[in-house]
Amino acid sequence: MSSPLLTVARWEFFRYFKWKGEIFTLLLILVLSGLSFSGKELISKFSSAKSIEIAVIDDLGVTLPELDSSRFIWTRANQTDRPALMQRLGDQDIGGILSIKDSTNSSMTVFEKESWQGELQPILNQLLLDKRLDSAEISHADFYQLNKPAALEIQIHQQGNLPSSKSEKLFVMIVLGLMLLGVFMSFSYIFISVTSEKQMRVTEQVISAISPQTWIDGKLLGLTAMSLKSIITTAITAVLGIIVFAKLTNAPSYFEGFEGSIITFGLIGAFALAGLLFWNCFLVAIAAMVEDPNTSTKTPIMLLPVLAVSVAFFAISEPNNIVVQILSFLPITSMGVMPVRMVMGTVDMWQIIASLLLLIIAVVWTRKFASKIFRLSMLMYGKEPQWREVWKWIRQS
Amino acid sequence: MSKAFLSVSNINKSFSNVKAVVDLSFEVHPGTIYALLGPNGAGKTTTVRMLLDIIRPDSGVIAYNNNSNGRINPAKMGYLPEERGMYPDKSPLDSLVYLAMLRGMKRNDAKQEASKWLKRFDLADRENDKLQTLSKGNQQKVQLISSILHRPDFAILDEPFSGFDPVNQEKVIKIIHELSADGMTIVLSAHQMDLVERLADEILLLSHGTAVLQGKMKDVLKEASSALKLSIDVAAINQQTLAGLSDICNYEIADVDGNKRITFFLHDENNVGQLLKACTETMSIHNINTETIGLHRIYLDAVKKHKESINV
Repeated sequence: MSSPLLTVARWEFFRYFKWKGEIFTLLLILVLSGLSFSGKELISKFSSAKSIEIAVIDDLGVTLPELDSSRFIWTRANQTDRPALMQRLGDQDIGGILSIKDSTNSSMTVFEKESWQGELQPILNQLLLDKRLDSAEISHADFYQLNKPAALEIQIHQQGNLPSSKSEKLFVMIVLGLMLLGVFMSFSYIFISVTSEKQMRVTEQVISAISPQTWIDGKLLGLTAMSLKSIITTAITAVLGIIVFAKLTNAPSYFEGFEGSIITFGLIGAFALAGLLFWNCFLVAIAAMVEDPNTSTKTPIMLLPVLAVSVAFFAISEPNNIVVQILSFLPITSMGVMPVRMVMGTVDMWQIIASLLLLIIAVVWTRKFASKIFRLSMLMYGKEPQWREVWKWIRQS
Repeated sequence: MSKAFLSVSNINKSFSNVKAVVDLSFEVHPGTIYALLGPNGAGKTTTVRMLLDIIRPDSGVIAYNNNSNGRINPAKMGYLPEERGMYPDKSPLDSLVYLAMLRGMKRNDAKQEASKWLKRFDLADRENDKLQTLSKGNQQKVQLISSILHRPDFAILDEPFSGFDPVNQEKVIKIIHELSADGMTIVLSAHQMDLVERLADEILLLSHGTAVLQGKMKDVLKEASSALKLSIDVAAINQQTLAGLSDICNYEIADVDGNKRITFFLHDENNVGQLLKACTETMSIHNINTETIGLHRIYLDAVKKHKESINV
């Protein structure tokens, strides 16, 4: 026989878990994540399928390069050919009509704006620059040597504090994005779950069967599991989408050079779980106070967790800043900030453990006061508790 | 008399400055049907919540089977709250199984029992539909089933007839009788006095948190059956005659089909002959009707008397 706690947790989980919706959402994430990272390559891939013919009306007489003959086909023409060329352009028989007037001026007429036009710009720039260098009788080699930027290689003295790679930055951004997703999903699940039960007057029936503590614990368990499920499935699907699309389009591998250990992943998971539990306790307590979701002044407070996790994005640029270090210990921000420090900054293991312990203590404490508020608020119909009353309950809990 | 299943001794409960329940005591015996009656705001819901241990009394003792901690194993009790509420996006079967499991039933047993009860209430073909697609009456059936599905020893049924048509009201009466005959102890609260009269073994009438009438149903009715309700339909009322009769008994006046109906509430000691003589001599009587006084009248009189005694 399953315990009432697990019965509630299972009920809460499956209230929001729908197979059809789940599969549709994951497919959408797969495609969108792939497109957002490899979209450019995908578009180029499709647009490069055919060669583009450019009619060139050249008053200057430049030598047209054969940089990528399969991409662009140059066709020499005169001003007198323009009407016929315009006809061919209208029929989309040619990609454009390029007029080179002098070494600094050129114009191109196209049928519509397309991505290949961006590719033509640097070719043309190079072409006209070379023409100007020739006119000025300046050696190409000398010119490029003079314009070479000064190299500045930064070497870090502090051991272990290596500069963050692009892949690390990307990893941290994904982790924070997933945490944001988790707290946002928790907000929506808990808000609907608690306020609807209160409005549907299910409360008395449930409380006569199980203790408020069992009810709130079951809710926390079920809805936190649902949020975690969202995080995990989204993460797996998104990474899969990025990898698959990158392979298909020959896009660069975004995770190349990233070295994450099992311990790092495990600790980040622990922070995500403890952080979600901490915020879910808070959300359950606030939601129980809401009498009418449409008019309650307490609803906006439920967005607090989203702001608290968002703070961690500022830590990415300076993970070792003293303010960031302090935020990584505060339970309201450590869920996001400490993982940033772990991946991008320098942090001792004792600091990670201490921060995690503080967060766990905060979970225990928040659960205690949330239970008290939940028990008293759920049976309060017709009015919302005042903050003064809530404070009294917290002190009593 | 058997040992009390539920014993309530001198309980009190106040909210801010409002006394919701005042020095209330009663006993409910195993296998009986106990009616908790009273007008809105009389303290019934507060009493029920204290019986369920949702709130605690400020003073006094609630004991189940002589255990004075005021608690009963949730698996052994059922509750139909006055404020109905289920999960509209869930099916009757899912909702019933969930609530039964919270009360300790195994999933398969709960499923089996739920299907059986839904069939009995003619809802077998709707067991997998969403609750919100069911009519109000059918939703009430599901709610009622949820309170008895797990065969509790004790059930509190708050307004079990609410939302039901007469056919289904009869079905509910039959089921409550059956459950009681099987040994279930039932506390019910309802406003349909005729139905309560047919069901309850004992009653407790509350007014302003105080017990104003209490006892076995047959004793309460026996005491009242010596009383008589005499209705006279007249074309016009003679106020002087009525003023003279007000010393003899209570009466009410109502308009009925263009006539005035005077209803007298008589007791043994009242002189019916004197009353009729006075009426026939001064008013033109079209119709006379008599009936014994039922629980409905007893209820109204007791509440009225209590209100007068506390000057409300």
